[in-house]
Amino acid sequence: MKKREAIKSVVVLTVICAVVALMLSGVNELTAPIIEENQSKGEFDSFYEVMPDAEGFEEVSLTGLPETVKAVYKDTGNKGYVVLLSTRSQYTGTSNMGITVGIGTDGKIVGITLTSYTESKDFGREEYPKTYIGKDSALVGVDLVGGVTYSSAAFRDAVSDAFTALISSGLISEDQKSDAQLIDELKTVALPGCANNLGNAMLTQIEVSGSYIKEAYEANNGCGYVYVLDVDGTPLVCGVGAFGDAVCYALDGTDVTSDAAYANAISEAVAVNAKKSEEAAVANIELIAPYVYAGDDATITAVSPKGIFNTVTGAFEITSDSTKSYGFVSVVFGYRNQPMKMIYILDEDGAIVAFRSAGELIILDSEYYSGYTLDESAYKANFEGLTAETFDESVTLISGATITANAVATATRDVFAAFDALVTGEVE
Amino acid sequence: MSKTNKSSLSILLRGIIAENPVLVLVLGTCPTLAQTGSVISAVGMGIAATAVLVCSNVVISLLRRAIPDTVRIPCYIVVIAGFVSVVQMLMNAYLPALYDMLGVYLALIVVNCIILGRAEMFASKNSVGASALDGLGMGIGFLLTLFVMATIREVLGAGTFAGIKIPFLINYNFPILKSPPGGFFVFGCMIAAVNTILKKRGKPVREKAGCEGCPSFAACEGKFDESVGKDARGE
Repeated sequence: MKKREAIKSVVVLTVICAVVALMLSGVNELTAPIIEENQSKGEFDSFYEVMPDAEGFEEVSLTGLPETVKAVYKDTGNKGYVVLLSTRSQYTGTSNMGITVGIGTDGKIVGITLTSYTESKDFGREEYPKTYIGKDSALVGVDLVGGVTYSSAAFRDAVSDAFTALISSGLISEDQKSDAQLIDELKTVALPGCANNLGNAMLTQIEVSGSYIKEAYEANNGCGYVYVLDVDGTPLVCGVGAFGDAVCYALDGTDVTSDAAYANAISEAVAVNAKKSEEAAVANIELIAPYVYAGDDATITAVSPKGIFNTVTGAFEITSDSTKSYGFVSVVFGYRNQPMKMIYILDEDGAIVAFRSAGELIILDSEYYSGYTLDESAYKANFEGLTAETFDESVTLISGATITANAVATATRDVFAAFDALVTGEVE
Repeated sequence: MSKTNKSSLSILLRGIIAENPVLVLVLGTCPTLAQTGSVISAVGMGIAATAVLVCSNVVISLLRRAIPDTVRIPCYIVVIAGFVSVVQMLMNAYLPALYDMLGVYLALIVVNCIILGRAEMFASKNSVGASALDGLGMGIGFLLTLFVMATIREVLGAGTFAGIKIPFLINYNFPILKSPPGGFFVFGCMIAAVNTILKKRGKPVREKAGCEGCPSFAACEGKFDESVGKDARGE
């Protein structure tokens, strides 16, 4: 009897399970397609957020994509593409930042959203992506966020990868650039010292008169001038450094400095502000003098290293009975593009004897810079004894102030280049 | 009214106040507290639970003579879980927003004490019709309780009703009512209110432990059948 009861129990339970399973499979047959459609629509929610006018999306199969590009979808209505990005180059480097970007067929960003971000410091997850809307592959005018430069740089680099993926696959074409765009791009090529941390030229237009000069710009940090010249209808971009040297480029990027056809135009560009450059050199002597510890009999003489177009705005030979050293002033663009005046004293062998900043503090704007206190004296002392060969950019690092640290690294590299040019007559 | 109709009506109605599953029987407390932060999710939960309750009561009542005593609980669970899965799939397909809102609590209906409790206490001993009515009554009681509690918590706690902003209250409200402590507080107040109503009507309020203190004493007619589960207890 007990055995019969046991068998009956098993059979009844099995039958009930079987019937329920059949019922569930039937309902699943009915609902699975609908659920799948709902889920794929949900997945596309962020796509419609960045491309609201799209009709629908289908995945585009591509190869050789940058690592940050996870998938590319095309709008079935041919309005553009949606690229899913995932990057890890954040401050901790341990979690993914998810970005969805919509790029129109004209190669411009129509919408962009940050789908996931887990770092503790917010760089404006709603506002920052909006600064990208309307930009093309050059991403001109897009800034990093001070204090959160790792994450904002990772964001920018990922968006740049999205463009690379689409352009390299022939889905969008790089814009045909106008002369104005080409001239803009050549400004930082002709005078690299005028560029800020994002590579944007920090110039102010000035009025000058000349036969060949169409436009004239002065670098905001005093490292020289950029002129747009017109030689018989041929536009040229000419950079004149702080020490009076000139370099000239045609719009296709060709260096035409030695081209005899443009010699007069280049000479005019060099001469037009030569006096102002001499005055700047004298002002720099006064700037550097307090930092020279070569004794009361030291003589400071302004010198001109050849072929310098970087951030070095002043170079000096400091001589006394017993020693000879060199002084340099470099003005770099720091946080919020503020010019930072860096003063370097190098010995005869090119080793840094002293590194100072005019105005005492490297951190000029402390609002963004929180939580970490920089021991300025110790920081600057770390530079002493370094040469071009032993200089390691890690010595310039300042936690939470990446833009400033990068500016100091740029200034130091430029000073070593200027020293080389001065002593060896070579240009790097 | 015939005795059968009166009895049917009483089966239907007692789940609403006299044997309210949440406020009197104190069953299904978990979804009650979790899903009464918003009226929409409360109503969604109530309807889902009611559907499962009615369907499972009917099926269990239909099979009550075929299911051996030794495997009655596993059989009830399989049936209840089956219906919960059906409700889940249908909601996921046709009401995905509500499905997302209910989240894990939809699946947890399987272990909702109300459903297994009514299956064991009523459906396994009564006819299909009565079991269906009992399920419906209990479900309506559950739904109404959740609705009232969610209304209080959302209106006074957030100044909205089903997401619709209420003037004045949207700016002046008690956010604590939306949080767990507030939920318990409202729950306690509602139990107290129902007990007061029942006392005034002369209905028994749980003051004693054991069979006689159970509000469902009448449902099983006060008879505790010792043979039920005897084999399972190894007696």
